[in-house]
Amino acid sequence: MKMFNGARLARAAAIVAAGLVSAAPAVTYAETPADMFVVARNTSEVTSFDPAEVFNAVGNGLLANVYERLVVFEPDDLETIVGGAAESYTISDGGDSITFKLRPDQVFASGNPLTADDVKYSLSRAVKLNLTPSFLLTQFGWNEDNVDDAIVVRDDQTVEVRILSHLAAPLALNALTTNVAAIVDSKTLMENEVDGDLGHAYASRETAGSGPYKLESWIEGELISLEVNPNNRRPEPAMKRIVLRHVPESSVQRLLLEKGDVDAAMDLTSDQLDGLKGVDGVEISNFGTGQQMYLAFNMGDETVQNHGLRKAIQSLIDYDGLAESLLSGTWIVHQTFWPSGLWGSYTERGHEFDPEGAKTLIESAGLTGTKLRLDTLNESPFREIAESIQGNMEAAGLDVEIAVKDGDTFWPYYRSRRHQILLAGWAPDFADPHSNADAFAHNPDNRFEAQLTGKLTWRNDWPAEEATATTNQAAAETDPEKRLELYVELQKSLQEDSPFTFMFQQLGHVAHGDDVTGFVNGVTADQTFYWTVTKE
Amino acid sequence: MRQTIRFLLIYLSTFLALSCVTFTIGRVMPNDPVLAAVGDRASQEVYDQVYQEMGLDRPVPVQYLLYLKGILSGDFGTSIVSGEPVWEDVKRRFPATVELAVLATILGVAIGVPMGVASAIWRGKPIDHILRIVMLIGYSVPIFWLALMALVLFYVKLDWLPGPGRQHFLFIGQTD
Repeated sequence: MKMFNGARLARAAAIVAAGLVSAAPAVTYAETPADMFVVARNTSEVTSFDPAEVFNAVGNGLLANVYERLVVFEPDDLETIVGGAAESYTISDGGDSITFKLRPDQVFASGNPLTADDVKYSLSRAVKLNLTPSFLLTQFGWNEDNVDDAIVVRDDQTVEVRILSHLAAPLALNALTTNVAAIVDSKTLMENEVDGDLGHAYASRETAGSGPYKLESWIEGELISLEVNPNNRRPEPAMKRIVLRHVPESSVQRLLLEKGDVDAAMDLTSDQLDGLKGVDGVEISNFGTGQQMYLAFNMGDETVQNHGLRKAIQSLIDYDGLAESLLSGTWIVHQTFWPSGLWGSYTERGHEFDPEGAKTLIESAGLTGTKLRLDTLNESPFREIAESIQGNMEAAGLDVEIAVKDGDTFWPYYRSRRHQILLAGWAPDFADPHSNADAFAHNPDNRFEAQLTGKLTWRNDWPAEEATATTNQAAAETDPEKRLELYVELQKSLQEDSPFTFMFQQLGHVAHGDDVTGFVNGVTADQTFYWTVTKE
Repeated sequence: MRQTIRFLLIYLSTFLALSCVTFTIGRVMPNDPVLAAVGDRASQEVYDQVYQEMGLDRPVPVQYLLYLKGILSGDFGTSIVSGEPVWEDVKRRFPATVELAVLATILGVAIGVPMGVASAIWRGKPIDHILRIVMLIGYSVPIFWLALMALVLFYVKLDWLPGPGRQHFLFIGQTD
């Protein structure tokens, strides 16, 4: 018995299929609204909006547009510190105190006035909460016991900030441009305090600032949207809303941009950027970033303590070849610890690719066949760069094994000094050379028990006595020219002999619609400006 | 009655074994939950503070008992990814998972069953071979690539469907 009539069934299926096709909604969202800047970005690192806690690029980029700081960098000049919430400031004769005069009539998004009390509350709160970015303020010698005495409210509009450590005022000013020094609405946070948390739970999910925008909506895994804060002191931005759509896949970011459903895509790979060149309606803008790639040698390891071996390995890196081919213009060669494009950077080279010279050095020192282990992150381009270096090292007679790890295991491993040679990345916390000198050239206590795990000198078991002294001297120097000399000297000395080989500096790229102008992305995330964006 | 008690005991021991395995996996893995929360740059002082807050300074058996106590009282702990209570994360994401699963099942049945029937009716005929190839592709092609290709076809080329994301971002906030 035949159960189905094949022809009839096929006809029925065709009718259903045709119905499905015609029922499909003809939805086209080919253009974003004219007053809205929509960005495709991987926002998974955003877990909080509290300026006392946020320490990632995406989060800091948003906070910089939501909170005012006493002093800031303006988008048209990212090297000069100017007044933000403060109208002016005076540095004391001894250089150990800065008095800020606030701009009059500033109001938070809530309508509460912004006063010197808010400044004191914000800075002392960040120190007392003692979360990750707090070190930017505790380097002033502040702790939860003395911070309230170190910040003195003179009147409603005047506040004095006393520096209790050896840090000079120019350096302290630089640290005050970061988001951990953002001025929060103390009344709103105190009203929402739970169990003495200084409003931390509230500030993690809501914003309480006076910047150009305020948080409108945050749906994890979907989007973060900011809306204009009408109480901000500046002229109202052209973009009334900034929307960051969470799009973890860079290939999907590209599709959205080409379709016109987003105005910009922030996480595209070099292949995708190449593919977008010449596409109608799409432009690519480049900007400098502070991200650097470096090789670190653990000085506690007898094999790599050998200066000759380290010199040979430095000559086995094909700097220009890698920058041109593998990195295809997304990183540039830079061989000192402070990124180019920033005040204080020394851009001369110290190492060149010389495989023959390196091979001779290895042979003459009897190091042929030496077994080495190179650890790196399971991320592009670190993996590929490590493989290239491995190839050159093996050709020169060394026996190299690569171990690739995810970040979750890589960082604890590095922080516990278990590596031999390691390829990693680093970006400064704020736009002063002290930020990187403190990590790469300063180690007050190299003992294992000291656990100075935040310092790369300590992680590489390098006592760095001379470099530590120079770093201290530069941090305390108030004369800009002398400070510059000290930082250049420090960069040269680390290039000559240290556990670090600086190789590349990353360039940032944002692909955007050709109607978008004015988006500024500085070297640090605190220098991200959404409020300057316009669309034609 | 005796059987009910036996079932209860079996369930209880399964639950205990499962929770023990889950807990142990979390402790055996080489990744560091504290570092995941505080970031690579954190000073040892901040690290130690969070280490204590997470209760990791207590003996492992005590941590396990606290974990069990938490589960029984509906406290699944705090996610190191979002910083939110795990239960809040589950509540927020579960509706999307259900939506996706139900729609995928409906689509799967609507397309798969007629394809299977057609293959059976015209067994060995060209249509059977074509459908077999389609099914083989469905099984063997990596799902992320298939999804990307579906986006290229239905979203970019044909313009039948809106782009990725659960709701269109213009409507978010208005429908929540």
